[in-house]
Amino acid sequence: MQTVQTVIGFLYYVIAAVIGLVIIANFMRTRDAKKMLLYAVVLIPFVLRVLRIK
Amino acid sequence: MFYHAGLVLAVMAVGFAAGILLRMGTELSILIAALAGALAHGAGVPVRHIVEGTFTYFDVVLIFITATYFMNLLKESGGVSYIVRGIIRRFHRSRFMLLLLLTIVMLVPGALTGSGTVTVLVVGSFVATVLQYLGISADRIAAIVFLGAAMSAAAPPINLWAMMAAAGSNMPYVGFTLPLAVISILGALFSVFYLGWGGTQRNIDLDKAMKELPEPPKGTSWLHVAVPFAIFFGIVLGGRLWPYDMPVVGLPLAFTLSALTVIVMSPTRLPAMKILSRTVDDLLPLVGTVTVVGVLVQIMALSGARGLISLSVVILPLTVLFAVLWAVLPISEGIFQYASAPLLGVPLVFLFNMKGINPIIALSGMATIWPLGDCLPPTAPVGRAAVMTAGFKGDYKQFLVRLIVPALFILALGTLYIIFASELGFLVWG
Amino acid sequence: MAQPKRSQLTIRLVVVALWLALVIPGGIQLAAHRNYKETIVLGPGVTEVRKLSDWAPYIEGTTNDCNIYVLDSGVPGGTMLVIGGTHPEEPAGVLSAVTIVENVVPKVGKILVAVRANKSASTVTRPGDAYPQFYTIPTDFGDRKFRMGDRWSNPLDSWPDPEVYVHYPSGQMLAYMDVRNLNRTWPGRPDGMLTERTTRAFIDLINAENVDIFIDNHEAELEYSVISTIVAHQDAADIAAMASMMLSAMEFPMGMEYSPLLLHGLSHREVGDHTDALALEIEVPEPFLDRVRGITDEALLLEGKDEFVMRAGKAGLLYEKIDENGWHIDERVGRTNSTIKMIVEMYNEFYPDRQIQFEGLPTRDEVVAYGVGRYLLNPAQVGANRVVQD
Repeated sequence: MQTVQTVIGFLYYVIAAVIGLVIIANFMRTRDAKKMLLYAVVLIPFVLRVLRIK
Repeated sequence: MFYHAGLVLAVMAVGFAAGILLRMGTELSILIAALAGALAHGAGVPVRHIVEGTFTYFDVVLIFITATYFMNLLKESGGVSYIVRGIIRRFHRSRFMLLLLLTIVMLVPGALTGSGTVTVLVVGSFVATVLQYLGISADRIAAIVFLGAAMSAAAPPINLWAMMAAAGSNMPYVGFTLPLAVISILGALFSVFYLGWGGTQRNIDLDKAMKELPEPPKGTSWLHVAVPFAIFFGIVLGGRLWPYDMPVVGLPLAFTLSALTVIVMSPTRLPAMKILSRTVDDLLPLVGTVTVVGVLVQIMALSGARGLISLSVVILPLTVLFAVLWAVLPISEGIFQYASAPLLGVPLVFLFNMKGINPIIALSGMATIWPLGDCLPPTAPVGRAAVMTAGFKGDYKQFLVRLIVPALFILALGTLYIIFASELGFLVWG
Repeated sequence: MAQPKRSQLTIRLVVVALWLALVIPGGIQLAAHRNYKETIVLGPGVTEVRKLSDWAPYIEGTTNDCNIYVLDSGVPGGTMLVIGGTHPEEPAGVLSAVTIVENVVPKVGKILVAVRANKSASTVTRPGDAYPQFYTIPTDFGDRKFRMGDRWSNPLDSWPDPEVYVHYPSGQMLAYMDVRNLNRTWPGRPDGMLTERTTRAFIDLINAENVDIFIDNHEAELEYSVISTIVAHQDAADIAAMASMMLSAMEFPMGMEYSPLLLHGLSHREVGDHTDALALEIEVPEPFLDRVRGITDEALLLEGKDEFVMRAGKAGLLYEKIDENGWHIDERVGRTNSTIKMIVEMYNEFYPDRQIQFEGLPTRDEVVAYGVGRYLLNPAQVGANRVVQD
């Protein structure tokens, strides 16, 4: 059970990383300054979680 | 301290108004309000608090994104049109049956997860499409989807507001099943039938509907839809039925696994990354709002502004409190989201206990009123998701106006629960 | 609002610069808190420092493999386990445990202490609540710095949460995040989530060491009715009642309550039900925890002064008094210590065959008179082998 739980925990980091990368890609693609700012704010928890800081 | 916290609140309000005037949009205006409040508090730019605040609703954000991704994939694969065609073919003769079925369909996801957003994102599109064929206008459809979602979030077994307030006041989450079921089912049925009974079409014209509805790709069968949903509900129910033999999967991964199943089973090749990118883009206003509200809440807590709000509510005389809770709770939900449960719910449960008011019934009433606030700005996550799903393009205010009658009905029920909590004590069960 | 191409690039660069200016210093502060090592000086009574995993191998390698400080008199007698840091947002419980480790000398029997029972929860502060990250206690040799923490384990150590937390073994449903609450996961299970494993590890320790008396240090908001009290499992009710009477008569008002039979996951219920130990919990007032609190900072955490909480008191909403003097950390640590001392004295009356005797625990009057800092040792003045990190 613990191994499965560890794998699940790891998958959460993968999910966060994939979504984080999509946010970055969308940030690079958008031409709307407000959206850029908002993407930047939304990205913060994804980056810090994947880096295991928070 | 009263002066300080009051000043911070005022500066926040000015910051928000300035943002709106400068056409920054709601989300960035909230961020401006938070930053202005932080500066007024006098702690410079509290970078750690700003960064930490973005985590306040991180769990919710992950659920939003994964659930919407799952549903977008299902739509793209033709699964949604397959289901809608099925429902219409089977029930097109009876408006009553259709509305009853839709109410049940809407109640389930939120009841199991405690999230109205999940209801909108998972079943909102089916419901909306079927309602369109009943000749119901888009604003009414958005209202039905929202109210169904709000009542599903309130419905047992999982009501997050009640759970959070109970947890904060060291009360077991026990005895809420029947009180929550009675009020949420009544609320949902009234809302759906009140808003859905009219409409231009008495019953659905089957041939017309079948012609107009998009055909699912060749090879689509009920399995393409059933299996991804079975995986999702299987994980959720499994966790409930065998909690000690199942690993903890969590909602975001459950939705992701269902999403992957849709991709694997789809009769056509789905552009998975493109759909994910679009999902994130569609959700930016919603996800952006809850993220910046997290920052705002953190700055409010830091500066005492949050405490001032909480204090102002709990020191009201009981009669006044009963008279205003129906408004205060949804408004606080609009600002703080689930955090309003610990913020106001916990002191109120303490207060009810002190006054000999049955806290389970009173909290059930409150926990049914709270989700109605999910259509109110600044956050309005469920309301906005409902409007998006229903394809309503008009003014958001028009949607809010549609909600008034059923919302008043639910607010009245909730308020009666609070006032007559002790008399309704016989409902405490399960 | 699409911008021309060149200004778009400029805006993008400005946003990236702002993002880095915010996230790098913010992230550094968060990482510094998560990785901060708290210094504990081994007092004259500490005979050994063990790890929780010594009793429960399944907790090894996790954040929650905390230190267990052993104060063994060498004289046969009873065994007491005191845990601080069940909820690291309740610093008096932690500091009380530290004062035991750094001051107490056992004379009969054995004392086991966990300062950071849920170490993971001490490495995170709650988003949206603006907690300070650290608190410092002034001493003659400078400040001693401690981690402020949360009520729940760090999601970095326990992710994800279930949609609903089903307590083991009662099946009682609790809010999802309480799967990370050390005072909702007793008696725990070895293959559960981290916090459930942690409580199971303590249960294994209690059974293996034949712990006679178990004390869980807590603080409570003034809006909460279980405050300034000892909560006791029914088997420990006589001891708690006597301790409450003696304390109230001689030192300060201290209540006594029975552990509710139907509220599961709490230490005083489950340790009492699942082990032979007498299980008790101590609750002292902490205005910082009140939802109506004003400015959230280290001063409120340590001095316990808050106008908003006072106003709630005037409105009759509190279960404990508060005035402009607040509830200072010295008062809270002192009351916790005096209560522990009195519980043990009463225990000795009831169980003379398995005595626990010790000296050196600073009581309420002493801590209030001299400050808790007086009872924290200077790490520079002892050998390196008498300083550990937790």
